[in-house]
Amino acid sequence: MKLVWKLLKQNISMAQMAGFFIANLVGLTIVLIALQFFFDVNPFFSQKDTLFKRDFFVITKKVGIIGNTGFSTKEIEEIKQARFVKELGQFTSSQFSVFGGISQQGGQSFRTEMFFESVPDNFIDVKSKDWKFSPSDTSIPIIIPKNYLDLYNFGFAEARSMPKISEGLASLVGMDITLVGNNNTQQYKGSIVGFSNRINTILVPESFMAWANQHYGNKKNANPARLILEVSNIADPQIATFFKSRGYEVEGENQAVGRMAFFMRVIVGIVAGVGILICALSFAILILSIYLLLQKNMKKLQNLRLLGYSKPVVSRSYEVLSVGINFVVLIGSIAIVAVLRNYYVDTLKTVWSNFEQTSILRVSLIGIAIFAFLSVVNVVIIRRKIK
Amino acid sequence: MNKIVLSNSRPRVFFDLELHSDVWDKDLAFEKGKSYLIEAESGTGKSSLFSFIYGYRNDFLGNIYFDERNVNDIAFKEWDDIRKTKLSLLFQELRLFPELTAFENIELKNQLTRHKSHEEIVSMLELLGIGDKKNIPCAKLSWGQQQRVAIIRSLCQPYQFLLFDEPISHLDDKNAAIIADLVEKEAKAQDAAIIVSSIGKQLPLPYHQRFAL
Repeated sequence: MKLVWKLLKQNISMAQMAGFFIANLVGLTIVLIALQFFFDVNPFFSQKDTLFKRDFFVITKKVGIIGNTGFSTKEIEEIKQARFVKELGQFTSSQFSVFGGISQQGGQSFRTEMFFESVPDNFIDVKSKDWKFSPSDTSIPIIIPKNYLDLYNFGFAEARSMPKISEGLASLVGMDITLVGNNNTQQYKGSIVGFSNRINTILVPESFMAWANQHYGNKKNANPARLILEVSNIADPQIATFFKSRGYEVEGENQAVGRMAFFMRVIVGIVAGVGILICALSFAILILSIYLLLQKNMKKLQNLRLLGYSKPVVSRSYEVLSVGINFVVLIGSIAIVAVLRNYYVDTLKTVWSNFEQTSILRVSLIGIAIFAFLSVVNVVIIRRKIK
Repeated sequence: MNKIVLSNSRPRVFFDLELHSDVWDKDLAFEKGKSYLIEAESGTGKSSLFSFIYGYRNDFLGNIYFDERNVNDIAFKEWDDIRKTKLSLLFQELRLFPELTAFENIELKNQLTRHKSHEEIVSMLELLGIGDKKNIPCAKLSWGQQQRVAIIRSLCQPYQFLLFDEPISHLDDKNAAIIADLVEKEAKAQDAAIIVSSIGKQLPLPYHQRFAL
């Protein structure tokens, strides 16, 4: 075997091999680092955050000149059918007048007209044992947006040097609620049981809403003006397109996250694409060099065959050569990815505290798959060329 | 493999020529254990005959058989085995590797067959008077020296038929006699046939049959 190699290594161009080696190393490294970056950053967009276990959107129709008619049954059905929608809940508004007030010790009090809305319980991000209502109760549990409290604490109280109100303190405030409608008037106590980050409205339990609309309501089965959706993957770029094409508006920042994820995918796709292109070109260099080598050594190959050397034995040298180079490229690029990665990991950690460093195993496996693919193609080409 | 049979065969390039030959267009058999001389002028298809038998050209009309087997039916892979264990050919153009030394050229074949020991090869080199050229690249040897290297190489394998295409075209009578002696002895040990071609100088062997190509 040593003699065969001594013969066949003649005419191997080190420059061509080095050219292939460097080009393929660059190409494979770009592919792998792009994928590694994608795997590292993707959870940021699509993984369930600890704060929001699930991803939600609240959508409304655009308010036009002639007003807002809410979502019809047909439209709701269509949204439900969309691929990315896991669950859909309707906002139910109060169809009666609500007056809320706070009466203070010492006579001062204030009173305002307000409204209630309700959504199915499983969409609410506040868990409370008081979140229930039966017609015999004299108290109504209420959830208000965390925003309201923040607005007071960080806006008003800050500006006026007034004491801030904690969530616990706010829950102690007793509210007087008066429901008027359908020739009925009824007094209730209202108690704040929680603050919602997700839903930007004054919420009451759905059971209460159903009962109250029945008792005090004036119209039946109005179309819901707002819908809440749980989506399977917030980074799905289809979501934004879907809403936009139908003229629905989305509340909250989640949409921006979706767009960012979309752009990130595009960019990673482009980078990986460039890497693959470089890989393909470098692979072409290798193939051409091997063709040239085979052509230059064709007479030697023929003579070896005539001496009785079998085709596999004769082609093995070149197979080992090309697979060997591919293997060194693989190891080299995985090593480079491991090193380069450290540079962006630190940056990522500063902007995203929950960043968990994943291993480069997945990318290594992809690298091995690419290596295996290139090697098989190499071997097939060499075997075809040697007669 | 006990005999090589030629049945009404001729090189395809000769398809429209009128041939007066003891070999082409005839039915004849080369048998194991015997020796044959094929005398020819150049251009009559001597090397072609060997290439047809050795299986690296098949541009001939008619049929060639190894025993009952048509050579055209032999698969690529099987030829590797035939060239290692049944047929040994000394190419007229030698087909040595110029970048390898005399010994390496022989060893290249012997590695495949493990037929001769290192000592046997060295003693054959000595016998043919090129023992001192052992470690010299073939590119630097004269044609006559290369011929001797190639002859030794052709003996480094088991065979039933030894095909020598103009083995001594560049050798003197003394060397020719030594080679004839060695080859006869080697072939006898394997009970092999020797088929020698010549365009003038003949390897001095007691031939059983002579053909004019």
